Amino acid sequence: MSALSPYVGKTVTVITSDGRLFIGTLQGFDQTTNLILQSAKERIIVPDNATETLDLGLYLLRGESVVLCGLVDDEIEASIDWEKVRGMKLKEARLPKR
Amino acid sequence: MLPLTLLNTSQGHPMLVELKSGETLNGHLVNCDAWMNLTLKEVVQTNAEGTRFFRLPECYVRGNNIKYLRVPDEVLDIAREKNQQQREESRNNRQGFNRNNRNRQGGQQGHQQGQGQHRRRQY
Repeated sequence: MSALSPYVGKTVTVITSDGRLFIGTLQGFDQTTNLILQSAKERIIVPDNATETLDLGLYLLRGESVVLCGLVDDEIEASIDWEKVRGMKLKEARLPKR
Repeated sequence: MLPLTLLNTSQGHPMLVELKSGETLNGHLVNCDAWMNLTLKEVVQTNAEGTRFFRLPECYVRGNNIKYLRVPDEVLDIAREKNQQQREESRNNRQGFNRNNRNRQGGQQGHQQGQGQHRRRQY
């Protein structure tokens, strides 16, 4: 069973079940995937307008809302001009209909 | 650091709680537990659209309804300091225990003493 320990102290990008994208430094986690994100920022990527970045500060994310937590390569991240990025809006995570 | 440790350290600090419904609660954390249930005081409740506001002197949030919490940045530093202090304290306690038992004969005696101490601490 793999844990998030190799990511602690590094920059990670998190997607939540409501379709939001966050980036920040992972300071801690637990078995239910509750996350501590330091210097968290939300990136709002839309098809038509420039990407907005909101600075949020210290964030405690509840594990239930976490969909994915990915390691960010800081060099590549710094080389991206986020204002130019366009993309489809992320959908909410939903359980499949029966 | 464990997220719930951070939460416990932020008792007394102001914070923002966003619920799964999209509602937000801005208030001071009074208490919290292992299930992330919270009691907040002096709370401003905002609906998901951000159009209606309510003021609540006190409120209880069941942990499973929380999406995330925003906490002041200094709380992380305070929590780290506490962790360090606790580690130093437990180190000092353990050193004292070993020093007392080093000269005593019979591992069993030492072992029982250890269990006794542990039980006492639980009370």
